[in-house]
Amino acid sequence: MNLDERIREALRANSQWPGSPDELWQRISSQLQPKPKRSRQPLWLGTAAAAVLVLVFVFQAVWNPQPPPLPEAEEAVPMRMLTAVLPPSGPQLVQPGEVVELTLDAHLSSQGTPAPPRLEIWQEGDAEEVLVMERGLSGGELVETRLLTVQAPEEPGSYRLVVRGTVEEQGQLLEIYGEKSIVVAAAEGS
Amino acid sequence: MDLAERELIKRAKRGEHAALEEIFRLHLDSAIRLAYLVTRNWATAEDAVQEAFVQAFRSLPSFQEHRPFKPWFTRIVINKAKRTKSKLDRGHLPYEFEEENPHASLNPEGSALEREGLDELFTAINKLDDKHRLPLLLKYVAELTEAEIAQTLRLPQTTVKSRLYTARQRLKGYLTESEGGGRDEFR
Repeated sequence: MNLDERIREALRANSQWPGSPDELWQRISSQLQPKPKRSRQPLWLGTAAAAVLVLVFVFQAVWNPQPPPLPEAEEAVPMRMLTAVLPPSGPQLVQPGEVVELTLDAHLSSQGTPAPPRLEIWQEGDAEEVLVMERGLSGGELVETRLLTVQAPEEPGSYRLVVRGTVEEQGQLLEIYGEKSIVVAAAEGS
Repeated sequence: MDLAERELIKRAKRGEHAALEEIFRLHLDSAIRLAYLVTRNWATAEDAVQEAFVQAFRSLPSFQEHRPFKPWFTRIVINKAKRTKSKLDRGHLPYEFEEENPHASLNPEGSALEREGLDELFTAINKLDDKHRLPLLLKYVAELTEAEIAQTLRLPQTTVKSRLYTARQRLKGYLTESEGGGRDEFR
């Protein structure tokens, strides 16, 4: 045996595979089988759905912008505060002969013609008002208090109390005016 | 590459399972022995060969048919075997290294003396360093030509020729000394 043959034989004798070609092929073959691909559809669909939603929101914001939010309404001022300052808007229900307070407004006269202040009491009838009482007033008292006390008529009905005229105050001519509607109730037992 | 092998490669590239199996059976013997001689462990060699076939078959679509298949595939086997052996050497794989070949002493044809001589020669081959041992294995196990060995190892053919010559000279010297009195180290 020459050297080549001896080398070849030495290698062959010491590398006899104890394994099974069939088993090894099975292992290789199983690795070569195409692995079932993971379905990408749900992921793809999810991504697409998210993209569509984003687009919808974007287009909605662009084409149909939301109105700016309304500022929160301030808490309404309690009416009782106004009622303490302002006279009641409707006629005041009073008893016959009851004393009624009439608030007066005073401002500089634009006409410059003095007119003695007076109180007028008008009774409201079915068709027209009737002046049922008229009397002059002391200007000094009115200027000082801006308030006039009037005794309500005895006869039940609707009345309008009016104060008008001019008064002098510190050399200035002031025009005064006050008006109040009252309803005199029928006396009890009548 | 002869026409039959080229046709076989074409069929395998088309995905014919039978063609793949035929290629496997054609190249299994040299591949598994080569891997074993590199790794010195049958389990590791099997893993390396399995990985090599799988990689080669998966790379077939890009394989150029005009190129010879065997050097290309042998290179894959060598690389897989070396890588596996490297892991083994670093203790990453729980395999026993240099297991005894169960068939090594069961050759009924050879006489005990002949058997002893082949084992000594085999020991001498294993004492060669890799750069001389690998060309030897490719020549005598894979039966590659010097040109194919050069292609497989990506070396100049003259280098392969030189290394084969050196390896043979060393083995010759070993055998001479062995017959005359024994020498243990060989580089």
